[in-house]
Amino acid sequence: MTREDTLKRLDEAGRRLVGESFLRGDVELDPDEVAEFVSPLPNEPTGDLERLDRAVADVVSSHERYETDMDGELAEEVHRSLDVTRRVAGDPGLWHWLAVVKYPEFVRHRWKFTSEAAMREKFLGAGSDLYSNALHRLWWIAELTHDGDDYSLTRTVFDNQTMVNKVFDRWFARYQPAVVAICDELSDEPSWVIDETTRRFNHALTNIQLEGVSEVEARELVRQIVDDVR
Amino acid sequence: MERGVHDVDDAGWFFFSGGPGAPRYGGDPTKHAVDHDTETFVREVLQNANDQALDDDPVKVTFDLLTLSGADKAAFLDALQWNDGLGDHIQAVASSDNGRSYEDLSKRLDDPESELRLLVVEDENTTGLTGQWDEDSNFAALVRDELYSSKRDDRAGGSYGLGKSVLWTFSGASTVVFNSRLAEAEHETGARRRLIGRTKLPTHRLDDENSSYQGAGWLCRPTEGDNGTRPEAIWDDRAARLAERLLLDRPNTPGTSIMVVDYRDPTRDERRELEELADEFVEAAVKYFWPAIHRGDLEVDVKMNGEERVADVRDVPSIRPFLECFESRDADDTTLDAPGDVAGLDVPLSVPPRWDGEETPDGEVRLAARRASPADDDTLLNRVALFRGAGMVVKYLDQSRVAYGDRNFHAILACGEAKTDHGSTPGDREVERFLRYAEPPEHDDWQSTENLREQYQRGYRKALDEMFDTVRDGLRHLVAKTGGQTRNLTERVRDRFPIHGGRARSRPAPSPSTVFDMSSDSAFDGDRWRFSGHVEPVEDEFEGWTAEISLTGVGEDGARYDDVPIASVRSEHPDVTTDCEDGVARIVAGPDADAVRFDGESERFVEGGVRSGEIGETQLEIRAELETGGS
Repeated sequence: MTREDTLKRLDEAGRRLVGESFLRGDVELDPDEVAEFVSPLPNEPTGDLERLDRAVADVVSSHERYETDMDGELAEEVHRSLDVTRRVAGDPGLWHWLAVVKYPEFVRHRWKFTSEAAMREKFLGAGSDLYSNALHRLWWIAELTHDGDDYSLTRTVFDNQTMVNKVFDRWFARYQPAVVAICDELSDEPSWVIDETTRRFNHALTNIQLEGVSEVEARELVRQIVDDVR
Repeated sequence: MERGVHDVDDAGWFFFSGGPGAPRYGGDPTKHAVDHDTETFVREVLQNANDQALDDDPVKVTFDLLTLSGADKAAFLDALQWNDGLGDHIQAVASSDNGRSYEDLSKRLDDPESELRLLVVEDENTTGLTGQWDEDSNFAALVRDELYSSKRDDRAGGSYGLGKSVLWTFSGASTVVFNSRLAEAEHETGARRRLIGRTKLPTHRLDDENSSYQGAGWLCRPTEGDNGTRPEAIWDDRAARLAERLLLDRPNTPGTSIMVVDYRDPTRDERRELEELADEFVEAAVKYFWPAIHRGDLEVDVKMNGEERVADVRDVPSIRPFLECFESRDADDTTLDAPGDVAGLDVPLSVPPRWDGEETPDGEVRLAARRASPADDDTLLNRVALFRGAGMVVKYLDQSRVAYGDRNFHAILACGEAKTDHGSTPGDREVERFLRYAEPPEHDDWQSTENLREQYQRGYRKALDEMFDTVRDGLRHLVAKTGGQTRNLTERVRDRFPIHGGRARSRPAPSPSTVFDMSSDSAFDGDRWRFSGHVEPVEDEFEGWTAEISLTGVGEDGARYDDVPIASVRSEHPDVTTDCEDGVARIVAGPDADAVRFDGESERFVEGGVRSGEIGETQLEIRAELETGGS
């Protein structure tokens, strides 16, 4: 990482700036007003924001609106540019700042406004919910699927939106060995197999303590379920 | 009794002077009764206005913050007769032992550079300060009495009169001026406009006089009567002229304008910026009055130096989830599947008979909960907003112990005349009255009170406890990740909630049922589920009942999957028939089936083990309906 820009967070009170007209993209926020609600994160983690700015701009300019493959292209860059621990990534304020203050055009370019509530989640989701905030989800899915510098599984996952939906909206998505096993094993399967396998896997986990399962065991479990399902 | 009067245009400051035996006050005794911050101030002031609503038009309340300096300040102080009475008394207090804050005030007013902040709270479409000094009236309640209230009807938010004391607490000069336009003209004179000021100082002695003063003073026309001198309000044209000079003009609609002189927040040392204050006013108004504002019964504006803001319920993010919950409170759903879903149920409230033995109709209140989304403001997460017809949130009841995992919520308990938009029943009206009397002087809870003891026979405490217990159970049921669903309950069915029995894994899942006692047990025995249980109506008299038993697979995160088909069910009770259809077991019981045991099993699983994902946590659900007499 070359640059070390200080990362910021949007305070709780800053959420009030996000009204319907902002969500629709009809108004921009007043930078002076926003500045009041932005503060550094505890321990001042950093990131290469120039690199991230460039990556976001590239993705926006090279894709039509609402194309899902923006996710796969951007996830690795989001993950590499931000030098944050999982603990820091658990602070919703960081993701609110990135979505609301830094990259609102990306959020609107990627996600169509279908309802106020849905759009609000894309800007203001985060925390324990891996799936909602437009940038938070990219970082977390990359975090859970990368292997050192190898982000090939991250790409594979984002190439298949059924996988993103069926894996990362479930509780077991917080356990990396299970995520790696299930994403890897299911990457070439059709949607209906992914659908049924993740459902059964979730059900089987009521009998098996998830944290006691290694990646190898998780793979075996998934393979066995896939065999039954097909 | 002597009098101290300083006449100007035959209106002036009048202070009761005490003889040797007169009580001494170290300040306003009611000042200390309530925690006074801006939120409390706004809440109390709006409650007073809301309670005095006329029936037709919405109450409109405007908070107007004025800052005066230089010649404007001098002209205002002149109109207030600062140098013709009030100032001397305040100076006298300032030089006494407990008058440090008044000393500061005197200095500031004398300093031409220093600003003076005034707050005018103007309400419209309210009754105004009606009635006489010596009767039980709005006028006497607001400007004469301490801890005494005269409110219009059973819906009114206040029934103690403590609220008005905040007005003086927030005045650095302990001085408040009222200018009122009465909804109904005075009988004798036909007058409609009335102005009076009131100060509440500690007991003090003027330097150049021998008499000591109790502390209560009025800007008024002192009038001689049979019982000595008393302060009389200033009426009509004189009132209008003085109001104009005091910057206390008001529209020609009925209502009262109240000026708090030298407005300051007693809980904060530093003076707040006007913009900050305006934000606090709007937020406090919405936080506690969103039901009234949303229903269009109350409109709140905040003005500062000419700019105006209307309090919009949607502008306060922490309140939006409650609002959505309220709008969908009639939803038939009883489960909260996705964030943003709203589900509700009715909670019974058994109001005891009135004190004179008059029977009261039983009532219900409406509980509705909305599952929180990660995008919601979580300031008031896992709270229940309690309110009734007055449209004021009495309390945000903390129920965070009911939430678990990521299943958080915002909930409302809409009671009395706020229960439904479709007209209130006699039960709703009794609940309204009952809960009003259950509010303590601060109006921030529903609890056992002296008023309840006076108005109702024994049982009021139990009624409240039971209501809150049922609210908690009902909430737990709504929030539970595997709640039941209501299907076509007929009118003859008295079942209040869908009912859960036991579960495959033993987790505490108390039944919220008030109609049945039931329990159940289930286990996997190698190739099928076996289950047993008992169902027992709480009522003694019934025509019969039915219960449906089903098994459902559950995921690690609580997601519900397909039904596990039930193959058979049995009961040895003679007045019961059982059958199975489409994998669901059904018990049909007659009038003699007062306690029924049953057992049964699921279809056999042909293959699959604990790792196959075919067999896992399974929930047994019993849904029962009781038939009582009548139709």
